[in-house]
Amino acid sequence: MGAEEIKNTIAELLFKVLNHRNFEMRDDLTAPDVEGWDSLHHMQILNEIEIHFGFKFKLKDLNKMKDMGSLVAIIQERMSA
Amino acid sequence: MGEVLEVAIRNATDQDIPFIVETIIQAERSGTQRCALIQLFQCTETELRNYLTLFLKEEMTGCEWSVDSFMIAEYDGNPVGAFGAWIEGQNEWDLSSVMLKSNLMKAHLPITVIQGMLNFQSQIVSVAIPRNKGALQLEYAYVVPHAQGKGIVGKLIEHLVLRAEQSHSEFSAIEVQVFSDNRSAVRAYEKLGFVCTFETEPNEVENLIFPFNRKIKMTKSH
Repeated sequence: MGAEEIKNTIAELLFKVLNHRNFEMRDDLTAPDVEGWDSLHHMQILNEIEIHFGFKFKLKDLNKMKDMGSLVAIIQERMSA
Repeated sequence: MGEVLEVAIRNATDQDIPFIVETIIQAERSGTQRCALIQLFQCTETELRNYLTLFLKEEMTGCEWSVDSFMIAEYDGNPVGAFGAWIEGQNEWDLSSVMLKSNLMKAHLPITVIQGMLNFQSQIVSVAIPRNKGALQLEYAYVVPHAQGKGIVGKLIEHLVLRAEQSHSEFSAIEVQVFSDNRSAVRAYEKLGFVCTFETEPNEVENLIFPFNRKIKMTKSH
């Protein structure tokens, strides 16, 4: 799956959890840039991503997530594993 | 000050996990019977102990659910006290301690528990105090009842600060967060030179999950 397609899916999941679209899906987008994306909602967003893509993140994946670009890269890695 | 108990202070190891779990639960209770983590995880105390054990078994540094953060006070070969400390934001992942904790919960808690935590969102936010990046954070102090009032917390802090200094890390301040109604803890930190630098608004919700409704941050220059 391509990075753009994954980003579009994540954007929909962000909307589902945060209930707004006030964000731009840049590679350097981080949680503090997005209204409502606190640690509690971070877990909800990751839940939605896991359910949608059908895998479970490992702790080492979670700790590597610095921004949108790294999240997309981790999803691609998991999808190709 | 009463009698001082001559204890040995050492870094915690995985063998100390049961005592650290006890430390976390007792510190969360702050002298009351209310443990927010039990409410938050919608679980029994036994289940909470299992979750905390899973968190602590991970090779994690830089937050309050990390074995590496803790030092243990031992008397006669037995742990009688523990206290955790880390330098905020200084870990191999460059993540805040809040994010590291969140990752531990995400990795180990069932999806339904994480979903249920949203019910407590406003309460969690109400007592959340930002931690300053680069400051030494103290969290989760506990001394077993028969050893309390004997200078063990002060001694643990001394060693935690010394350990942080010896790790070649520079930090300008030491921070600790406590519930403001936990008067004995507040007085103890004041005696050690900490002053209140931040306080949350009191939370007036009916079903408070925390021991008290207002938290403060106490800071000491370094």
